[in-house]
Amino acid sequence: MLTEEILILSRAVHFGSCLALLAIFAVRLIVEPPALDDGRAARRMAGLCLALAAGSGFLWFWASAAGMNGSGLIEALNWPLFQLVLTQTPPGQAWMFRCGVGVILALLLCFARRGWSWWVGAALAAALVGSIAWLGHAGASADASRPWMLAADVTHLLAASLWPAGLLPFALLLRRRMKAGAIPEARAAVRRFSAISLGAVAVVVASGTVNALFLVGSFHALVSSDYGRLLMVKLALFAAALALGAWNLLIHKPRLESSPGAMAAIARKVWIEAALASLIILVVAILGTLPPANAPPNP
Amino acid sequence: MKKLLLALLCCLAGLDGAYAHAFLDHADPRVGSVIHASPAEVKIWFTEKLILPFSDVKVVDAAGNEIDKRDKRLDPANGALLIVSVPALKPGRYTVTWRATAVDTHVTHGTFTFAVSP
Repeated sequence: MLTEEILILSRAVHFGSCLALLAIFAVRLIVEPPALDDGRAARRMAGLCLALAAGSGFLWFWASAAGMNGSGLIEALNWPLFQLVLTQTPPGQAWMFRCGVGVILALLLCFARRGWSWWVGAALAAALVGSIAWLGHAGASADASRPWMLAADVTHLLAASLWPAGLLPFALLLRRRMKAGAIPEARAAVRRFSAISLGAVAVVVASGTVNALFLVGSFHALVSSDYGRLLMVKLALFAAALALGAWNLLIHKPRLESSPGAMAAIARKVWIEAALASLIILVVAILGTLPPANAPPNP
Repeated sequence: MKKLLLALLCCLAGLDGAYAHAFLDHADPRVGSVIHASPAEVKIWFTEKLILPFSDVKVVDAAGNEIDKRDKRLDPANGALLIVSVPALKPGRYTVTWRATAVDTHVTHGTFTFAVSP
């Protein structure tokens, strides 16, 4: 069914663009300093990510409304239906909040130039990323564990913005610095990104484990359900990206000062890690359309 | 497209490609049960909170006539409990058809039967 395909692709683009948006702010504020430019390139990238998030977010909302209404996409393209979804459903209210945040962020990117605007932008981008949790299984949960599920999901999303989503803006930053011949600054960025990504990976693993306990619950469910088996694919991709990151950390990073080729080797592997991260996001987009592994079968 | 994406990932993970959601947790009258007194309501508990405007429940008799009072509602204390009132049911077999739109916007459908015995 076309609606389902559009739902999955729009979710994947939306997740990726929102995570990348927060990652751009995080890299600019934490990894990049001292900044060697006026931030114009980073603002343009952030604007592009926000535009992608807006477009894909609309498609996701539209496909969801069509699915809820049991109609085709064209039939669902009407304001009364959109108004009903926006005002009388919990996901609709979450979408209204996210739209508001997106509009404020867009205005900030267009008009604000002071240093503080990066921090405000980061907070708004974090709100955009974290609120995705209210559109997923955690937000729909009916039992007492809902606050914990939401907390784990929000933490997972925010940490994933640093790693692996941070890999793409970091790869672009490295390329800019290497092109400009700013090798000491590139080395400093590598050391700083390496430090924060270690922490981000730990949080991703911990919060992901909590999510899995809520949504999978047992080894049997992990291996016998579609959700569980697809989660294992996600974990395999995650492990592959982690292995590349570990290679960079343990083999190339110690040689940053002494080996001229170490920086280029790191940059190449970061691009591969970023490609694996894109696949992870696609898997996550599909995972969210499947019932949790611990959902009871139809009696 | 979704089938192609899942097929690619199935090659790695051996998925069987089933997409159907199944969220009914339990019902009253119980699924497949035979009861001796007519219920005043049919209640269906789901595993996730529902969105009422996009959820539905119908009770039909053996002849296919809808016999519920068309007053579907969610329990104010439990957004995962869908209720519809029924009149006094005569002995016979009844089919409950439900459509549940969860708060995460996923839609599931299902039917079950119960019988009222004299």
